[in-house]
Amino acid sequence: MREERKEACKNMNGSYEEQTDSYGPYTVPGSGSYQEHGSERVGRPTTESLTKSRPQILIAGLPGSGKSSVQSVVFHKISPHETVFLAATESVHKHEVGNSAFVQLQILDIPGKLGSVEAEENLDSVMKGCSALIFVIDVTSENTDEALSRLKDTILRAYNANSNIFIEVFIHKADALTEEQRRYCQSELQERVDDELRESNDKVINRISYRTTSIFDHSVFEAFSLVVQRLISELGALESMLDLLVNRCIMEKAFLFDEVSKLYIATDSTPYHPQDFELCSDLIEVNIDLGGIYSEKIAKKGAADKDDDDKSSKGRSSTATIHLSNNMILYLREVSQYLLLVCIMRRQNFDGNVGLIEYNVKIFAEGLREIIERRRQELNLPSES
Amino acid sequence: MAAVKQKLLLMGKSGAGKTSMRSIIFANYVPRETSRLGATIDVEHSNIRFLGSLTLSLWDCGGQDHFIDNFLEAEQENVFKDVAVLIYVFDAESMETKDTDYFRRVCDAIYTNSRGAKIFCLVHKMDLINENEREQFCKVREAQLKKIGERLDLTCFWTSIWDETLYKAWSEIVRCLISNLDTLKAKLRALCEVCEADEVVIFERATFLVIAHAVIEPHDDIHRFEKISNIIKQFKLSCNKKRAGLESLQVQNANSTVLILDFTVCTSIMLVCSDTRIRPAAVLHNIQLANEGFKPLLDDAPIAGSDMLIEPKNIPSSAPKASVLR
Repeated sequence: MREERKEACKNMNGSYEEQTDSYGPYTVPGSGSYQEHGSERVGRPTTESLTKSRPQILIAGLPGSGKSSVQSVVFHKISPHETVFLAATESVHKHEVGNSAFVQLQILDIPGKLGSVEAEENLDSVMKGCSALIFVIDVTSENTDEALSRLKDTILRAYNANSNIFIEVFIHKADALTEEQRRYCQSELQERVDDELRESNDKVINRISYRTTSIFDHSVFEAFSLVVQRLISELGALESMLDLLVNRCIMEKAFLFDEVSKLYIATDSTPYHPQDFELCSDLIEVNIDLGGIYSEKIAKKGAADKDDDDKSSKGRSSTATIHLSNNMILYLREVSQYLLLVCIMRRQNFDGNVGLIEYNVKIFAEGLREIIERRRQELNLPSES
Repeated sequence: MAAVKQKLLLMGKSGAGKTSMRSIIFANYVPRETSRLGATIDVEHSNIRFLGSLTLSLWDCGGQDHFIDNFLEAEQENVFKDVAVLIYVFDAESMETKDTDYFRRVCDAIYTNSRGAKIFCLVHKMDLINENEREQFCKVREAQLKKIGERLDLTCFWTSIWDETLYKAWSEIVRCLISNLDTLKAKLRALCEVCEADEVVIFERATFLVIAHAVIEPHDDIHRFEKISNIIKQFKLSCNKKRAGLESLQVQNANSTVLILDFTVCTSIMLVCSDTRIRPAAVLHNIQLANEGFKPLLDDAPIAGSDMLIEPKNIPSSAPKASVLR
C-alpha cells in the first residue's frame, strides 16, 4: 500500500504538467479558468462537498517568487535543485493532496502575473472557499515595493472575501541570509505590512503569520507544517496525547509526522528546536529510502512464497531505531496509515524499557485511530482497514 | 605491516568538478555547498587514511591550461611518477577537443612514467545531459576515450554529485587498491550465511564507500549499495549538525530488517534480513563475534598490486607506521 503511494507520488513527479492538466476545468489557460471553477462548484454538488471537506490552500505571490517550487518540493518530492526547470505557472493549477488523514488538502497554485479583469473577479470566489492563503515573497528580489503592494492587496482581498482565512507570508529564498538577517527581514517586513494595513483594516493584522523559508533546507517544511496545523481542528487533542506519551515514557521530544510529505502534524509541548525537527525528518527519509530499496524484491518473492508466513509479517508496522553517540535514541514507529511517530529519548530511558514504550505507543495509536475515524467520516474519506 | 601510500592523481579541466567530488567523498560536503568552492591553484595534496594501513595520497591538480601545461612539461616526472590511479574528470556538458587533447597527453605521460596505473575517466555533471540522450552520449564518449587510452587500463564512469553515481565510481576506484578482497568476500559470505541474512555489506566508515559485499538473495537493483552510501552519508551529516555520531541504525518494515552499525575501527557493516523471524539481537551478537576475525583484514589490510605500489625503499622514513586504534 505504501509502495503504491510512493508510486503515485513518483508519477506526479514524472508527468507533472499532465497531472495538473487532467483537472481540465481548473486549468483552462487564461481568463476562463476561474469561471470554470465557479460554475463547477454550482453545477456539481458532489464536487462541492469535496471542496468543502478538503481544505484549500491558495498560494499567491509575484512571478518567480517560488510559489510552484514551494508546492512541488513539499508535495511532489521534486529535489530543490531541479525546481529551476519549472516553467512559469500560466494558469491556475490545482493539486489534490491526499496523504494521511490529517494532510488532505487542495493546493491552488495561481499565476504570478495578473490575469484579465474577468479572472481577477473570479479570484474572489476562489478565496471565499480557501482556508488559508500563503503569500510568497522573494527576499532576494529587488522590487520590494511591488511585492509589498501586491501583498497588501492580496491580503485585503482575501480577508474581504473570507474573514476566517488564515494568512501566511513566506519570506522565501532565505537560504542566502544568516539567522540574524532572517529575523531582521521578518520583523521589518511585518512592521511595514502592519503599518500599511492599519490604515485600511486592522483586524486582519492578527490573522497574518510571517515565516522565513527556503527550499534548500528544512524551513519550508517547517513553515508548511505550521500552516497545515492551523487547519487541523483536532490539534489540541493530538498535542495532549503526545504530552501524555512523552511524560509516561520519559521522552525528550515527540513528533507526529505525515510520512509522504514529511510535514509534522503535531508535537508535544516541550520546547521546540528546529534541529530536532530536521533530524527526525531526515530519519523519515532514511526509513523511506531504505524501505524502498528492500521491500520491492521481497514483495515479489512473497507472492511466490508460502502465504502463511506472509500473513504473520503483514501486521508488522515499520519501525526504526537509531543510536547516536551522544546517548540519544531516535525511535520511529508507524502508528497509522502514513502517520509516523518519531521520538527522541535518552538511552538510559530507552534501554530495558522497549516493551513498555511499545505498549504505550500502541495505546497512543489506538487513541489516534479513534480521532482519525471521526475525521474520516467528516471528510467523507473511506475508512482505513 | 607498514603503511603504504598510494598516489592518486585527480585531473581534468578547470570547473569540471574535481574538487567538488573530492569534497563530497572525503570532506563531508553537501552537494549544494560545493558551489562555493573556488578554483584549485597548482596542486592540492591531501593524505587520506583509508582502512588501516592504506593511505591515499590524493593530488588534486588545478585544471587551468597553464597548470596542466606545467604538469605535462616541467613537472612531468614529479607529477606522473609512481601513480597508482589517475582519475580524469570530464565535464559532460562541454567536452571539447582541447579536453581530449589534454587527456591524450596525460595518458602519454602516464604511459611513460607509471605504466601500471589504472585510469578512471569520470564524465561528470551527467545530470545536465537530457535523460533520453544519455545512453547514446555514453556510448560515443566511451568509445572515444577508450581509443585514446587504449594502451592503458581504462574504465569510464558517468557521474553526478546529485545522486549515487559518484559513490559508485569512487567505491570502484578505492576497491582496486585493496588486495585481499577475495578473502574478505569469502569471510563476509560466511557471516551472511550464519546470520541467515540476505546480504551483508562493508563500508569504509568515514567515506561510506563500499568495500565488499556478500549477496545470498539476489536483488534487482544493482545500484542499491551506492544508494545506501549516499543515504547514510547524508544522514550522518544531519546527525553531525546535532553534534552526534551515528552508532547504529535499525529499520524494520513489513518485509525486511536492515541493520547498519559500526563494525571495525575503520568500517561499518550493513545486514539485510527478509526472514522476519530472525531477531536483530541475535544478528548483533553474531556481528560482534565476527568483529575479531575481520579486524586483521580490514584495519590492517595489505595493499594490492605490487607492480603499482611504491617500493618500500622509496617511502621516506617519516612515513606513518600502521597503527590500529583499539
